[in-house]
Amino acid sequence: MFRVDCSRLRFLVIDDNGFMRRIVRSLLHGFGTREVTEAEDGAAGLEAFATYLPDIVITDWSMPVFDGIELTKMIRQPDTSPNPFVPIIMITGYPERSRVFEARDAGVSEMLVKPISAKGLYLRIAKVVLNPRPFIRTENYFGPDRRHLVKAEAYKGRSAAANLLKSPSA
Amino acid sequence: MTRSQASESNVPTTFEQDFGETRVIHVSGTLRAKAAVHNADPSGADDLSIAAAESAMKDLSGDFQNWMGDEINRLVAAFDDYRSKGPGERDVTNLFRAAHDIRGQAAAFGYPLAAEIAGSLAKLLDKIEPDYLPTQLIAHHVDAVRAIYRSQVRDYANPVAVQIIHTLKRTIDRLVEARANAIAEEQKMARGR
Repeated sequence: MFRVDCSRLRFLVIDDNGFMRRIVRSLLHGFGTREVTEAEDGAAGLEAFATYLPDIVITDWSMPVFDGIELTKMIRQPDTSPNPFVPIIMITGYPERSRVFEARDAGVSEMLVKPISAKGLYLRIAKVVLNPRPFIRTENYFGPDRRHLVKAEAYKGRSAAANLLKSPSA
Repeated sequence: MTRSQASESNVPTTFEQDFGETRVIHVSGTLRAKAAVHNADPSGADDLSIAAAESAMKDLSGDFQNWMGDEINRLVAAFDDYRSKGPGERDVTNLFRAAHDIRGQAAAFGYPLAAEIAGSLAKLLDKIEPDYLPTQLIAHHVDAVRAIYRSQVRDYANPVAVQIIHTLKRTIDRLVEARANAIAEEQKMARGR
């Protein structure tokens, strides 16, 4: 069994509310993290993302300039982003089902509904580090497989079958 | 088809599978290799890290009272600004953001009832267009949040506070539903023209 040694990870925390940034930073330091960079809106967050190349991004949804959803879509641009595969944990006050789907479809890796707890945040970090989902690229989507329970092994052997079906001689 | 992508500092390498118009990209476990360590506890939980983070949060809690006061001042200022403008000039952005932040944080600061009332206000501001917002109802929400903070109502044992929350939430739900019905009716009439 494994656990996450957060002292080896770099985090970027993006939230327009300074109190919330301080809470998240305190929790991360409690987990042992040393490198935490903060940004107070989506634009500053995107700049910090390109500069610091964090291992994990933690972002709020509702922010000025552009929000967490728009930020996620920009980070998930496979041809222009410095790391389109970075895990993105979204902290939100929106618990509604439609909002969860919206975040999922933008490419968010995990969601955490406020009020946040130490355990809730740790479990999301552990999930993206220890059990990352494969990424999917289609015409309309780039991001983690939206089926949360899928495992990488599920794709084993299926690639050859798919290519065989596509070949003209099949 | 498979493809490997060169690693660049923190950017992981990938292995790709082609399924027609869908491509599955397996990201090599750089984070796992970097940060996963064996755990003595077979459940996988890291109770020590979680306890340390909870302790860090507790150290912060001395500031929560002042933080909550600052958030309420921001809500009141945003409402005053909203109320000072005439119809057609009103912008709910700052008011919504202040209510939304209290909804998300007040429970952590020790004021779960204030979080509920702010959540009800945020719903009103989110679902109803600015020209249709009832100012008096917004004022009731702002006053209730302020009263809860001033009276230090921190749990659900206060029957008056609970009744106020219930009434405000029910009013908002009815209003949002009525507005949604009115919009649906307007659209139906427009289609019939």
